[in-house]
Amino acid sequence: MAKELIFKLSGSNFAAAPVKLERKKIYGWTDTVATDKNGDVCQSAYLSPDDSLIIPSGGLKQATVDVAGRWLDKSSLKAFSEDGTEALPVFSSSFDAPIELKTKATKEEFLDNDWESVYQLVNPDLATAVGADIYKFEFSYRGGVNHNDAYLINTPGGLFLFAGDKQEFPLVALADETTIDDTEEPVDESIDELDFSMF
Amino acid sequence: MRKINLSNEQKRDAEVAFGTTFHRPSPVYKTTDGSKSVSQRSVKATLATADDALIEKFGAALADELVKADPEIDMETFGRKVEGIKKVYLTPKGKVAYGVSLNEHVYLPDGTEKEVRPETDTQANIALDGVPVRWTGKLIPRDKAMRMFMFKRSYQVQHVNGLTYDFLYAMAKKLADADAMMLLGGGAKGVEPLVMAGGGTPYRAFLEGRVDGDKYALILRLTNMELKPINV
Repeated sequence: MAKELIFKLSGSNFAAAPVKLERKKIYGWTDTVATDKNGDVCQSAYLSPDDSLIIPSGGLKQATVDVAGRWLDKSSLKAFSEDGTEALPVFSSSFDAPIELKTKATKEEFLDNDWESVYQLVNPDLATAVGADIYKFEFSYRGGVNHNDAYLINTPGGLFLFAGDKQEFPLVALADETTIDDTEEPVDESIDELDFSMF
Repeated sequence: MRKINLSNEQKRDAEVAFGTTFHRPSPVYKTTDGSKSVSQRSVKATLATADDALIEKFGAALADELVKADPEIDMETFGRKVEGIKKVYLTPKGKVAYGVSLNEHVYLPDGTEKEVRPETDTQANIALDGVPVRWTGKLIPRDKAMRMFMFKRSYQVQHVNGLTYDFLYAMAKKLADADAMMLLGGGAKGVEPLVMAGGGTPYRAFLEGRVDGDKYALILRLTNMELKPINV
């Protein structure tokens, strides 16, 4: 049975197992297949810069090492802020204890986030209790240093849990004119299928 | 900030700026003596030690061999740091293939193959001369839009001079007064999704506006996913 989150709202407990919302589950997906001149299917791989080594797909691993290049066990390391000055707090997993829903969020608070994940929650009683409100809480899926602001929101497609981080959109005045530097952002996403007939 | 060529309700267009200062910080991991750790890409397997090769070589005896002799580890290459690697394709014989054809196999959510088509690349369409991103006139109440779509990316749209301040402020005020988002469209007909960079994902795009006195915020919100129930 999938692990459940427990939400406390208006004196009642509601359990729901989060299911990650992914495009492939809604629209399907695309695989790119390479074939050679004979029509045989080719496997992707990597070639080292000196062309001496062929590394098969799945043959690379991100390793954590010390400055001398010696392997480190990540569990023996401590997490600090990006500038390396502050030790980061460690959070419990949100599955470990009930989540109390006591803070309501505005539309702007909800919208102004960079989302990491969205989960579907199926519990009609919880959906009814949430109603048209948006509830905000702290969320950590696995526990550890990674945690997000999370929101529960009802939609015509059901109840969803959004997890992300606050993104600022300051109001600007005439004097705040900016410049265009035309730097194209790097493309780090694969192109996949989306049914744009949704409009 | 980057350039976007945007048109308004009157089909007047202007080049304005968009961007974000958002940055999700990455933790730094340190050892007990306070020195920083480094994350590096390393070799785990070669063609000779990959799963398929080991199964072919040892067959049913593979489990015993793994315990006895560690054939999955090539002592010369395991753990070697690799940088600047190139993606290649291999023939069924394990040789680098040249002149490969790339096809996209499209699958439905249930795993059924829908079609096979040649691989295509997307072109950016947000800053084309004479083809502005169009204000379609299709307003969606903000409350409805935020409960309909997962906005994957959001950018602030900002003026680059006094004229474009008036241009964008008017857009933001109209949207704020209507408490609604405006659907934008790309391409010559203004109906295509937006592609922010060459090779990037196509997104449906909306503009959201906020004003306070003579200040405004115009936010470009991008989505490629509806909030639809999925079967579990």
